[in-house]
Amino acid sequence: MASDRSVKGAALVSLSMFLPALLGMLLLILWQVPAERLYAALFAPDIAMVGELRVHYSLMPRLAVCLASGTALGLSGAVLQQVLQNPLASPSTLGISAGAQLALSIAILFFPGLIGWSRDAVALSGGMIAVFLVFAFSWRQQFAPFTVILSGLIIGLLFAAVSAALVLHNERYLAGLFLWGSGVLKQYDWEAARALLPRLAVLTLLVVLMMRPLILLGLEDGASALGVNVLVVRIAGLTLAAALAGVVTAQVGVIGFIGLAGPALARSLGADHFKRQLFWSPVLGAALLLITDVAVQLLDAVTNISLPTGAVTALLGAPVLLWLLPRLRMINKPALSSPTAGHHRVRHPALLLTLLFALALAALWLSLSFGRAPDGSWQFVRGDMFEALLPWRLPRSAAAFAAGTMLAISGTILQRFTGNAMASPEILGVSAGAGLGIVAALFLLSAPSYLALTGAAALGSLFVLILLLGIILSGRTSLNQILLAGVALSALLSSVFAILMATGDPRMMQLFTWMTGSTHGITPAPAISAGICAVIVLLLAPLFSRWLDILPLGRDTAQELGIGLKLSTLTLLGFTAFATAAATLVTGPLTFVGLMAPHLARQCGFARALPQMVGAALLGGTMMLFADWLGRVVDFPWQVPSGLVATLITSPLLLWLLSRR
Amino acid sequence: MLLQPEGARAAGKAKRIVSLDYGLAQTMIALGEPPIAIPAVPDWKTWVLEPPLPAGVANLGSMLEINMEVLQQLEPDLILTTPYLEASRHLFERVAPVEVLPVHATGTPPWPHILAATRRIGTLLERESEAERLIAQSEETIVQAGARSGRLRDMPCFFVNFYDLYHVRVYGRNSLYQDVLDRMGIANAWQGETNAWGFSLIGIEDLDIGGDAEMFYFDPVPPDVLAALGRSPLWQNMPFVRSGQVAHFPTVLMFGTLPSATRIATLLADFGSNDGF
Repeated sequence: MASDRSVKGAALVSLSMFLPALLGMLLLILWQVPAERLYAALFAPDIAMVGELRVHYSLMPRLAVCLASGTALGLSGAVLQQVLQNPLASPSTLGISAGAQLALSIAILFFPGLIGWSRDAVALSGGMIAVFLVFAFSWRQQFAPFTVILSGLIIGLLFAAVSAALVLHNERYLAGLFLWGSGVLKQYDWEAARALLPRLAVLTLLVVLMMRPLILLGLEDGASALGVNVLVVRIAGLTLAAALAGVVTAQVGVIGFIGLAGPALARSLGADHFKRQLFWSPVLGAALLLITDVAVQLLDAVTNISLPTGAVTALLGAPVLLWLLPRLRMINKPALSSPTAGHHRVRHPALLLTLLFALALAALWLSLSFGRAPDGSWQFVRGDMFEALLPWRLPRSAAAFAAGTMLAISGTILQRFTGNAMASPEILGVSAGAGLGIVAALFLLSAPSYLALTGAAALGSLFVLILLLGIILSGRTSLNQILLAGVALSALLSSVFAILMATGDPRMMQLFTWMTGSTHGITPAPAISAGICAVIVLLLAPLFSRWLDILPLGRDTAQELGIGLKLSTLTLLGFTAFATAAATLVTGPLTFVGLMAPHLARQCGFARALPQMVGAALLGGTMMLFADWLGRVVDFPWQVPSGLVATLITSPLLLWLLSRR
Repeated sequence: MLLQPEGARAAGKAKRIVSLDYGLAQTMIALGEPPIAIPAVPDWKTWVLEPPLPAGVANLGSMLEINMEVLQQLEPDLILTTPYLEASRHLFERVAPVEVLPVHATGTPPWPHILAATRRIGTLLERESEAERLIAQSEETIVQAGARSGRLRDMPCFFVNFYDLYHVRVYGRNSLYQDVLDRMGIANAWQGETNAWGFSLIGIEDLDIGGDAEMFYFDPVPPDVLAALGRSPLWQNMPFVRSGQVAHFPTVLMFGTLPSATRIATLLADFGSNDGF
């Protein structure tokens, strides 16, 4: 029987993680107290003995918190995946952690009394606000799985961007939040364990009570016929899952990917029925988290390197995602309305393009001449002062414009090619590669110059590009899989980033500023290279317009018309990756311009590929230009990075667009 | 040599100098010629406090992303900075000559670097004798403070910065605190490893100081840390907590120069002799 095998397999795998973990735990305890004091240390420590106190008030509660968190996250993931019917769903896709972190940042800065009163309540309400927003934006879609995940991701990114803006203004003050944000399981009393366990018990009971309707939900067509109100069950399920993840986030911060890995492992071991998933996902989640945490503690004890457990589990997340990809049967048809449908067409595209061009020029002139004086007053500069400031303003503006242009063209290509209105160049993971290159440069070179950082970023992008081409050439050409591989790479970057931030190394602020998309360090040289790249991209883009006009009609049509699918995939992806890499060097990995500009171009009525690309390029460039200018003046003399401003401007627009579909 | 634009600035006239580092700015103020601009002016109160920042010092914005437009419009003659901002040095060089003075984060004790930087700034400001006097006075103040530091003479102490609920930065070798304690003849209770900046980021439960010690923590303290620690039996039973030897240390720039060093010494002496700040 398959089910017997599944029970045996899952039990074996769980044990193979629990046993070494508990053995490691014992080692850690014996490190602190002699064997004959073991029992006393566990249950009645001598307050004069630091070692016994550590066992009783640090190691033991940590074990409890660890098991409870892993269980809660595994359970949350299992419920989410059942509700959304999507094996990639996990607590982090609802934006809970980012919401909790933002709420904490705001409270620390503006309402410190609130934090003193209840840190948990603050974090929890932030997480629930995120969930509520996700619900609000996916309401019209009746919580369609795709819309929910997408809204969650965007809200998560938006909240992370706002948190980042706060950190940048308060440089050192919020440093602790990074540590908290990356899921530290350290304990020094039973508070967190005492808070987690009863909450977990109640929520687990509720999940068990909801089991029947949740199972019916999985029967697709059967659900409504069986008398289940799909909407109510989905809302209840999402709320429960969010509460499970929220409770954990409030106590220990963000623990990445346990909610994804637990259920995924359970399924791969044969737990195909929801009932079995509901049992094995939390068990495997707890086992995974425990073995990771014990490894982290042993590493700390031996080498004195203290890593945040939540960030380490996120590190495991990327391989898990990549491993899941081939299993994933993603529907290869447009998930939302096709990018060309449902919009009016502009009658004279050339005229409108000229207008957009004039708008871009006006924006450029304004960004170069209108700004603020050292005393903070607004000023229009002319003559000598204009010339003195031009070397500072022009490279930034030009680079931002060029980057926006390239992101917009990448976005247009990806959206038309995949027929997926939510595809975005950032998802390719090329920007993540650039980030990893910069991390390497910062830690291998003692004081890297701008040129060295740029070179390292380019190498990183190139590496990902080659990796992507390798995946394509290996034969699996499903574009959704490639996009998800890109997401996995981005996840890898953010966990590496969280771990490094947690070391408290002051150098990390430098990396942080790049992550937020700062144009501060842009000199004429990188501005010119960004400009040249943008011109190349603009000149080559028309060559692809025929493919892009035909591809949205469907794969079969395309093949009938004689377009080699592999060749077009390869060429378009290589081209998009190049454009994204060149843009990311300037703006960092954090903008939605590549997602928004093509949409805006379509709203303007550009239906065919070529005018849409050119229109999107002009709009994307102007958007980045405006973001850069706004970042220079809004918090003067502090400068908000343009990538961050772009995210803040574009994501609410995007959410609105998403909810309207 | 600095270039003199023809006729614009007569020789001997005060130079327009910008400091991109709080510590170097401290030394300039101590030598009687404050910088015309520093980054993050409003945060001076939070991190430095002493010496007070004279009015009229322009704000260059973020510590890491100096506002180049403001810097350009101020037309400085010289820009003082540390290797911390090495990645942006090429930008500063386009505005004015740049002098990079390593002080902290060198992986070695900062004291010799502080003296070298003080002398160099003295030369740049044409105040060599004032610089020598500042050094001599500071050294004397610290030694004297050591002599009158009362019960701290027989009581090791250590300095921490609460980082979040579970972590502290504890300062040791390569930090200004260590150098000052050495000159005062007071023992640092924290003998563990530290990074190039002179601190170590550790879990609170690892603050295992063998024997009696006085713990000083300084601002900023995350809002709920003290309350949460108050509930923790592990914390309550740390030797220095049990004996009530935990004190809030007034604001001092931990990555500062001589004014920071003398301030640390004077505060410690006051604490040791009066049992309070």
